[in-house]
Amino acid sequence: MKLKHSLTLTGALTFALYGGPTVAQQNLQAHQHGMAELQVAVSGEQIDVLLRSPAYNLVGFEHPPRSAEQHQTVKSAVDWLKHTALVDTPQQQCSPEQSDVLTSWNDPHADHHDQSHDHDHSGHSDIEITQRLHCPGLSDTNKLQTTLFQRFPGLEQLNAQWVSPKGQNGTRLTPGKHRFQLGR
Amino acid sequence: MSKLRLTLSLATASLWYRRRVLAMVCLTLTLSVTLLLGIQYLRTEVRQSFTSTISGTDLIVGARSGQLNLLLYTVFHIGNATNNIRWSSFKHIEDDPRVNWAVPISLGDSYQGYRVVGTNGRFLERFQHGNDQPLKLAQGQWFSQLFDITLGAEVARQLQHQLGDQIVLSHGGGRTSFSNHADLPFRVSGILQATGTPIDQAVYISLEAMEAMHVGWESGVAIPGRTLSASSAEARSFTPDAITAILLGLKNPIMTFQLQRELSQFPGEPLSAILPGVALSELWRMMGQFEQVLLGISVFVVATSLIGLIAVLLTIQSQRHREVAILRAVGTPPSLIAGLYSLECVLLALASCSFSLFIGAALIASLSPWLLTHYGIHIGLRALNPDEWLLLSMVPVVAFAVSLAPAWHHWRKSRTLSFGNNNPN
Repeated sequence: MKLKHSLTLTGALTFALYGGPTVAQQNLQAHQHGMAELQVAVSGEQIDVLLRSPAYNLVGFEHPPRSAEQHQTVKSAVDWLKHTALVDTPQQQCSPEQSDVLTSWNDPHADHHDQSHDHDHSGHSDIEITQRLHCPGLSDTNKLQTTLFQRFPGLEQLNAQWVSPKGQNGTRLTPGKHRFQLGR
Repeated sequence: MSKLRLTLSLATASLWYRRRVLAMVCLTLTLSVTLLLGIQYLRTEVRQSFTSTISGTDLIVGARSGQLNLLLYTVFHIGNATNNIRWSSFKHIEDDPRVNWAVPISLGDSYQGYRVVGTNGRFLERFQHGNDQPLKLAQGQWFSQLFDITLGAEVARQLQHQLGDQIVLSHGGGRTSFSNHADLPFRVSGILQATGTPIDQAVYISLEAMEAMHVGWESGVAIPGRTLSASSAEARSFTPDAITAILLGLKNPIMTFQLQRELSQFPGEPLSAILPGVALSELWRMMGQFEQVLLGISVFVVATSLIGLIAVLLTIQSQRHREVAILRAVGTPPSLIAGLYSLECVLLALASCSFSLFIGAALIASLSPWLLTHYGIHIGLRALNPDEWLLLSMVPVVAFAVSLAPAWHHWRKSRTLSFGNNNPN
């Protein structure tokens, strides 16, 4: 039972948005350059964020890094993604407590699950980032914003969805509209 | 200070003198502002009513399909399911430790063109709309016997059903289905209160009854001798094989995305799980375009009536030639005369705004019960939101701006004024 398996895995990781490895699983995700998915779950002062993007948007190529320059690009992108809150209050009160960056070509969680699992090298690669943010003062604001567009010019559109105690909603974020309001 | 009071009293006296013409202008402006304000108000209300069609449900699970399709057939009763879900999958999902409650939904039959929803008692407890308002019964009870049926408010009103009425459901959708479940009539056990959502447009029976109705219908029509009679059906117990969709509430909504992702990878069968709030907002993004057009049109209507206002002011300018000349003779400075013009315009606009507020409130208060019963749209009276106040306050501001043209004209003319009969134009 796959569901049961990922339940225990999740229990171990206590990560609300990380429901087991989803990159390169049996069901292929949609992959469209320029677009990415952002899921935000808010509870109290805690925000769980998941960003799934084609690697192209973030590093400019989709193959495993080859040259030293490409390695450097990936390293700086991954560093940024690990240490920057993907969504933040306008007062920038959020800080990542835990972050994970998962790339199709270099899966850092390979030891957590099936070692022999074979990556489907269809020529497309995704990068998936999960973060748990701590945001004191989140209760005072219901606005969130993202700096992803500034850091990654290759990103044109972000399909954002969020759940919060005020309800669920979704919107399409663009470089011109990088802010959204929680609630229905 | 006394200057200001003088200006005000002069302006009102002057307005009163030309009250007939100005009343017509004021009426035009009032109607157009009412239209503008009304459209902005309805836009917000309809959006609110639309996005609160379902609330409190964290996930809707159905067979693999797009999120809009799943939302449309489960919540709005538009379109059809691509596939069913096995009952075993429902049990499996219901037993997940993160799931607080799960409500099964089975669709497919109809009654006089209204959808028949097969579900259980938890639907009444858990389904919420608006700001987490639960469903309430206007009369009677939610179904408890096998052949009990609960009606949505609109169904009961349109078909004039009372408690205890016998109802025969049709096999399949559509108003003119020829294959009826005539041998197994249902008894109306309850009627729901109007909600202003698609809930009003459906009838509700138990999953077991849904199953019992279809015994002997495997080939698509009733095979004589294989269907059940009401008494033999009541003696049996039924477990559905398949349902159409599941409404899920989670213990902690923060788990929504995680469960959604797992369900889309569900090993038993291909499933889709959607977040109803997100799907509703996407649907509104698609449909919401035309409300922008409406608002645009009403802005033009207000602009037209403001232009009409200047036209009238310019026309009666020649009549006011003497009035202005006398004012000048008693020592009124040209700036004050120009100011009178602007003040008049702003006063007119303010009067129109307050009239339209009054008319709008009266209209909404008197029409809202009628709208709810006839169209199922719930539009209540509420205080204006900041956007609406902004829109309303734009009217006097724009009126002041357009008054500058005749005011400036007057200021210039009144500096070179004579007592002759010559037309200043």
